[in-house]
Amino acid sequence: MGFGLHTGWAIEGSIGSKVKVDASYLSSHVNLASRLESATKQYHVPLLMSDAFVSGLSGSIQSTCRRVDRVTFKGSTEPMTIYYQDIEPFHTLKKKPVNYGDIMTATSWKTKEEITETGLDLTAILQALQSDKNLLIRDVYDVAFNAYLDGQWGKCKILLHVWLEKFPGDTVMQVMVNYLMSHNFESPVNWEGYHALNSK
Amino acid sequence: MKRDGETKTDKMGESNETDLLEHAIMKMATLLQVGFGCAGAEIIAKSFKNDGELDPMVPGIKVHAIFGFCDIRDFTVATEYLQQDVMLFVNKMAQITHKYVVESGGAPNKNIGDAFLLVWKLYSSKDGKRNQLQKSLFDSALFCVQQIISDISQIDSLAEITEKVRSLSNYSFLSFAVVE
Repeated sequence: MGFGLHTGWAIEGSIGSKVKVDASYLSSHVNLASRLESATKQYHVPLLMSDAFVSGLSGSIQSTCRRVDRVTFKGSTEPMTIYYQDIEPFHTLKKKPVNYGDIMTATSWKTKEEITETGLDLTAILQALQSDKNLLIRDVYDVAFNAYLDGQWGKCKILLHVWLEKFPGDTVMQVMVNYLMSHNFESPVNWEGYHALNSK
Repeated sequence: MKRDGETKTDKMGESNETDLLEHAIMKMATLLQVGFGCAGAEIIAKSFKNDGELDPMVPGIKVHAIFGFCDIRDFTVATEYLQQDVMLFVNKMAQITHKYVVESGGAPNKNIGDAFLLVWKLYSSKDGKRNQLQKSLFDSALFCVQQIISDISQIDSLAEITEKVRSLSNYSFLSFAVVE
């Protein structure tokens, strides 16, 4: 089962004629909830939330949600950050994808310079991932996600490598790796921190 | 209402008639209730004119709400595989979904085949006032959805079917790719 959660206005009313009526909600926001649901298939998660929905959540719950991507949906030009809430802790995400070997090869680095160039402190990052402290692990995630948004895909690549080494079954990051791989880990020249989704 | 002492004579016919009538009204009420849903009935009631005639040609009401859209994966494959029993499968899902949605202050709005639209109303332009529980309604909606997901994955018979359907749909996808 897939779920999409969004919030906004809609026109509530009865649709039909004297022969048959139905109570219904009409608005682009209802369509967006449906588009979010549809995108869950692409990210292999059971649930996706819009940024509008997440900002309605109370603070403590907001912090348990993570960004999945920043996209425009079919029929809209407004980019939207989409979120997921993990129920299981990251370390339970063990199931390797079929192309795991390819992913790990593609994201590995040849020289130490490749890491120093990105300005990343790899030792600290590995420590954070090993710590099993959710807050530290989330920090690593945010650095990786921000690198993706900022178009620093070489930096993102290294972080994705160490992330998937630790949490091979994280489908959200698998999807990101596959997307970056299709661009050879170089952000397009006109990259503005989001891409278009075509799923209906 | 005392029936035990009654003799099986003409009195029986009388009470039968009332019973039948009561039954029919109950059936009609239930049909209306489940057909439109609790919230739906309220919305449609606004289309009735004073003389009791239905007229959908009335403006709608602008509302602010949380919309949850949910859909059963690979439903066409599930239907192929389960045939008549697909109803039991989809309605088990519906039962769980609807239960949690109502508990969390929302309402199931529409069942479109394999998809459900769920609505948690925040406030409408008509009453103008914001729902007191608005902030917690977002939390409740998310909690509700997570409960549905976890419940469905924990019911063995359902998990078994979803797993079977997934393997079938992967298979058909593969065979399709080969044919192409």
